[in-house]
Amino acid sequence: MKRNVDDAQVEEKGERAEEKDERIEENDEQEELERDNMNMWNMNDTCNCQKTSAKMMLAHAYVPWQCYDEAFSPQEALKKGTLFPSLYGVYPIPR
Amino acid sequence: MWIYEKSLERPVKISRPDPAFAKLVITQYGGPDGELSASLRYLNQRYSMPTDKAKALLTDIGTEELAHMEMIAALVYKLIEGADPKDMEAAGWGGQYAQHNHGLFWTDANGVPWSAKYIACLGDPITDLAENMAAEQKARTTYEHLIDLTDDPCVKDTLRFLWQREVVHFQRFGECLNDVQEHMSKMNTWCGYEMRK
Repeated sequence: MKRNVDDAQVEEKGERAEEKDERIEENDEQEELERDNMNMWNMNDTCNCQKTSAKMMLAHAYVPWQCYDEAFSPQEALKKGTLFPSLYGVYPIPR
Repeated sequence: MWIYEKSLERPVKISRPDPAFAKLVITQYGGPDGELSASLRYLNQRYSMPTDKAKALLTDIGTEELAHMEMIAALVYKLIEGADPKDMEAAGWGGQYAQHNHGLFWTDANGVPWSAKYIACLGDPITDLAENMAAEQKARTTYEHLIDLTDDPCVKDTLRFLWQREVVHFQRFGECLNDVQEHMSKMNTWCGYEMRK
């Protein structure tokens, strides 16, 4: 992903930690917007993994099945707390 | 049986000691929605789950919660590092110094000690998984409150990681609930009892 390359370059340049944090937050906000536009919030029934819909019963709770379609790099995943872009940002990220 | 890794799941860093925030974040160590409650809840409920997959999930997440308890312990310990009795008292945590010095203890942010009353095991897998999903949401919200209460970017970063793990665990418990409900609907038994159909 493009973000990983950007982050790696920031680290290589050895910029001060503060500047880097600001940059990361900017990137995160940009990424949230992009994912908003790309409709990646898993709010619609567009996912092919939705195998629950056929047999749903009243008074039962269901969670949409996750599609394992994209992954962050391991470094990015450890930073964010998830390997999966589709699970990042589904709740507003606290700052 | 566990395999112990001699490193934290993720490094814990702080910018400066902050005993006042240590007093608050201790709730994720020994509070109702903290990591001790979470780990014991899942590791205990696993036995009465109806499928091997559900048992495995509860064991995995319960184990990760132990790793999170370790991270919170490291965080609290760093936040009070170098604090003398007066610093602790000024931070409103004189009681901690009196009873535990720099030792850790499982309490919530108000000093209430950890209790098994915080966790449940009804033995009905749907009920127990619903409890776990609620627990993940409560932990998520608690982390949001704690992030609001600190200005330290390093502490926020650690708490944000743990916050995201709650979101992931909610998804996993939800998928497990989907599975278990489907499994239960195909069985003639409910928690070991023959069902009249």
